[in-house]
Amino acid sequence: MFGLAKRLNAAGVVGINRRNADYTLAYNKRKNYPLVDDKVKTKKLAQDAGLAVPDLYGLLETQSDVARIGQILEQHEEYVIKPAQGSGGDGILVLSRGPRGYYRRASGTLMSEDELSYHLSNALGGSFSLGGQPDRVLIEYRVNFDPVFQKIAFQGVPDIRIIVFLGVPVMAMVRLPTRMSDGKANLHQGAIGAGVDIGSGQTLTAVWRNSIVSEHPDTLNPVSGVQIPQWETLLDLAARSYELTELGYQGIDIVLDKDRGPLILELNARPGLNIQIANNAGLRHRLELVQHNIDHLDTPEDRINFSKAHFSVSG
Amino acid sequence: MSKKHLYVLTSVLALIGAAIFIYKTLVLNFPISAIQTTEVWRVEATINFQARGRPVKLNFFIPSSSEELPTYEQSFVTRNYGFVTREAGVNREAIFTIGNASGKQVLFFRTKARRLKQDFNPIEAPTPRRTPSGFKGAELHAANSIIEKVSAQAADSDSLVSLILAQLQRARPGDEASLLLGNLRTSKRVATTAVRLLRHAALPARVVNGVSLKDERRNAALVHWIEVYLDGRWVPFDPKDGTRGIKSDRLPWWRGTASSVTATGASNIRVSFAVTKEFDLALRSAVRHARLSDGRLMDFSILSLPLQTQQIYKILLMVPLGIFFLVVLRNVIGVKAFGTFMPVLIAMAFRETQLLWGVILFTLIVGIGLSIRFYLEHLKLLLVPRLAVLVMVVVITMMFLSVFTHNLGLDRGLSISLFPIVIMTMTIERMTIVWDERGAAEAMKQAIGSLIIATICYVIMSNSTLEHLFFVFPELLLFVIAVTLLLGRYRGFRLMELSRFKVLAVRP
Repeated sequence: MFGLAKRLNAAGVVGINRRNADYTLAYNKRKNYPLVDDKVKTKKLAQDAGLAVPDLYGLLETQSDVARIGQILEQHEEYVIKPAQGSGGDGILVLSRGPRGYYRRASGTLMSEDELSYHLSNALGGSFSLGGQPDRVLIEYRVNFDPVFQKIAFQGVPDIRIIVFLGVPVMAMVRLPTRMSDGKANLHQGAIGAGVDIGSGQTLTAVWRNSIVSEHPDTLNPVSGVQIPQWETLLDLAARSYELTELGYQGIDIVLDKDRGPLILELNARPGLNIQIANNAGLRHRLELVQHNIDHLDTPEDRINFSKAHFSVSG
Repeated sequence: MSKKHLYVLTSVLALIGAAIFIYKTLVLNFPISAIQTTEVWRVEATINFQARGRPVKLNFFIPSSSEELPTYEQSFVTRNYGFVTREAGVNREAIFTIGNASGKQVLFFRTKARRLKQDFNPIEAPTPRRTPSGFKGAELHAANSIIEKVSAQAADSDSLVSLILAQLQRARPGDEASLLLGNLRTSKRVATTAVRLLRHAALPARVVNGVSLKDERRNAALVHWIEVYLDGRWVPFDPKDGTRGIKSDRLPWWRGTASSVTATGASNIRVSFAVTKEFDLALRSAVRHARLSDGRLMDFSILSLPLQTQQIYKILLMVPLGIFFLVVLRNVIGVKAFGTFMPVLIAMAFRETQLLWGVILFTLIVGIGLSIRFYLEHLKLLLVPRLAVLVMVVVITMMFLSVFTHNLGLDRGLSISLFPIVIMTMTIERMTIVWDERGAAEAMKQAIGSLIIATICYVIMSNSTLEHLFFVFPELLLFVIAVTLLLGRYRGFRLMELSRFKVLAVRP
């Protein structure tokens, strides 16, 4: 047991305790947390900085707003419903217009108007927020993901998670929804995570439910060696997100839209650790390297170049 | 910088804790282990009442010493009340007086009792005067009929007493015995009725009111038994099973049907009794020694508090220890559970229910609550009203489980009422959300995790050696704080993470 811990330590694997003590507690100021914990605020922040985000169709703030939902949804074909302070993807619904009185979920099942209203009032009441405090609900543009993922994602929206430390992108993965994850891109809900080479933007190994896989369980297509389009833009978004929130250690979630290109979905002040499994590499050595060199890295360009020079698999 | 600060703080805390501990053990000779040498009990009576700005005179029965259960070191805390003690018939009483008092008043009486013999011996006494039973009308008929019935069966006076007690114990609605007992079938009522019946059968008898010395209690209920005058001696009988003889694990406080307190100038009188087992004699002499040599230290010790409060602290002091182990289980082992401190609160409830029953009852409440919560899902209620309904359901579930287990004769089920209702409700709600969002497996995993932590915390918190240690040496808590502070900086892997990251290990 101690041998295993020692070997994991040698591989630079970061556990929850270390992430909390050495990175999130040390580099993320508490006053900046609300910027990323509330998706309404994150969206506004990104928009003000000129970064692309999915359009906001509507915002529900009180229980009486629930009555307006039909009116908001009627103007669009497809939409995503998100609690502003939901954690870990809880409470997110990916919907499209269904037969009269119904909505169609990403998985293809139908949801009645009643069920939707109930879900919305639960979300407003705080069922999905971290401390159970009352919440707001966003209704936003549903991403039409880039065809590159058609073969390796089952419904839902695949997204790209990049861990950014002091503005330097240190590790990346793409999260692919599966039948099990109900169109959601969260690993603990059953999505696949595939590591992405920082230098080239190509997918590496993939992890599904804590074990390494080489093909998508639903589409059976290989998940490694896929080139992610516009990789440079993604790295640029990631590097600039540090100036946005001033959180030293954060995860940025980006989606690739067919028409609109990369959009920032959300930022995360306590990004998960499964990214290490997806990349088959520990985070700590990379984080320490950034800590030692951060003084010479002034501009986002410097940081991207540093990242490519040191964290590429090919490179 | 902050690391150094932490290490300095933890070593200072640990040093203070160690210094007090060593001083108390080596210099003051406080005992480290709780070895019970003799059974010594401390009983404390608290009399609360309201004075009305007039002279107050209050008579309170106090226990007298007996050969089997001698009482000693009796003391009073009376503020500015004057008091005398005197014999009052077969009893002893204390009379508290004051010229003028108003507002809430509290008087304390303390005594110790040491159990020397297993059973009470009958008390020799001259023949008492005959007391009429006082039965009239329908009661008289019922009493006559019972006496007639049992006289036909009884072989001697002894068996007559047993038969009468059995009649009362077996009273069914509508029969003579239940007519005499009335609706309020308390143990006092049973004892009083038995005494009247015996007097009616020309056997002198009296009620004994006492305090049970079996368990440590903060609010001990009085126990009642009877004494019957047979062959020149008062022989004790237990009205519960009708047997002759009473174990000396009850302290007789006073005899007769009078109330323990009579007063003029006072209202709202409440008397409560607290019972604790005295620590072994070693601690007692150590405390006495410490009082003489270093009064200040003892003045700030919990041993100087009233008994009821001491009892509370005995339990409270174990809570930090339970929480410490919760931290270890969560942050070092990585067990997942609902709510931050929920498992420790459940563990405290286990103290009353005992482990097996605790686990069974917890599972039942959460299981039933969960199925009703899933049903409520269909009604599409808003969050707060839904939680409110859930609280009500949990209370009703607890009530039904109590009634059900009681009817099965399983009295442990009654202690279910000690489960923290709101915490259980939040657990059920959290569990449904996790169930919906992450699947049943994850929900069960966290529920089982909570139970495992609760069980481990219970085993630690109910350990009598540890309880003794922390009660006598509360400074050990400084140690616990120090170690918890260090754990706050533990950055290594959680045990559960090892298997999660196993694939990443470098091959040696």
